[in-house]
Amino acid sequence: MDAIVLAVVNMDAEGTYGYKITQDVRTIMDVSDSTLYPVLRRLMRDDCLEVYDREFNGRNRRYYKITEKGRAQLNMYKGEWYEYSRRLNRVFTGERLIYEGSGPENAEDGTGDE
Amino acid sequence: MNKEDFLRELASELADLPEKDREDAIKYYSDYIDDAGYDPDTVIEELGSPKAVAATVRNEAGIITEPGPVSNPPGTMVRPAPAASDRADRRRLPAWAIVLLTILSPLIAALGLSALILGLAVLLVIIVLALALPCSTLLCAAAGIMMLIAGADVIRHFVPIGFFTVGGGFAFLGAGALLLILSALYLCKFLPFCFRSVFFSRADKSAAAKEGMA
Repeated sequence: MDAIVLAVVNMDAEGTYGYKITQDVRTIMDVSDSTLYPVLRRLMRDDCLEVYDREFNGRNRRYYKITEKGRAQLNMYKGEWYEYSRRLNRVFTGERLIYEGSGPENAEDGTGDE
Repeated sequence: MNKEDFLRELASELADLPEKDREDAIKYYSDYIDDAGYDPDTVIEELGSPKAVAATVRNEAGIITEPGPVSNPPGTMVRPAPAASDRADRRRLPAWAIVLLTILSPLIAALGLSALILGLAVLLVIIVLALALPCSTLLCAAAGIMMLIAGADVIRHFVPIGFFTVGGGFAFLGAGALLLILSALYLCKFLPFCFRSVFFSRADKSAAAKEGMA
């Protein structure tokens, strides 16, 4: 969950806001409206996210932006995910993959377009 | 319930939290309701009761998710720590198993010995039967033939005893024939079956041993 939220926030260089984060997460999993606030709070407490207020339609909207620490955390999650999906793939397809190159590096290559 | 009512109730539900935490939550849901563009009267249907929302705010660690198509977000799967403790558990298991085995070793030795003796006894019975069945067949046949001969002699002097002896001879010959069938079955069916079951399992092992040596 933390990883998905970090990835979603990471997509916007400018930062993004609560409702949009919820909608983006909803494209891949079914979460209720009140699910994400605790996650955002936790990520903020761990210094993975920072907030700032910006004017939008005559009111101040709160934006969430990923920090350096958050980006490092996200890369770690990506490495874990790569490793996990690789193993899962092997179990499902029953194939023995040839070890070529290390996983996490390949996962990081996709950072920009994800 | 409109936005203002919702936020007011949420604030009162969170009254005991530090002011900053409370304001953060209020700000988040205020933005959320504005951005979502909910009908002012249906905010509560969309978000849930202020009480339920307050519970999620309060419980930062506990995320309430509805069962979705993707139930394994990457952050929750590959945790090195639990795996390590799993391994430690597995290593700890043999320790108490060894203690248990040590305590029970006299019992296990006794059980093993009695199993061995039982096995030897079964083997002995099989061998003895293999000898005893043909022997008794031969004995019965011999006794039957001898009683027939003796009966034929006796029948000339005293008819009832002669008949009795000859009858006994026939009875022995009959018993001998039955025993012959029984020994034939035992020697030709049962013993080969025993040998096969013993030697097949040994043959597998010795073949494996040969492969291992080569």
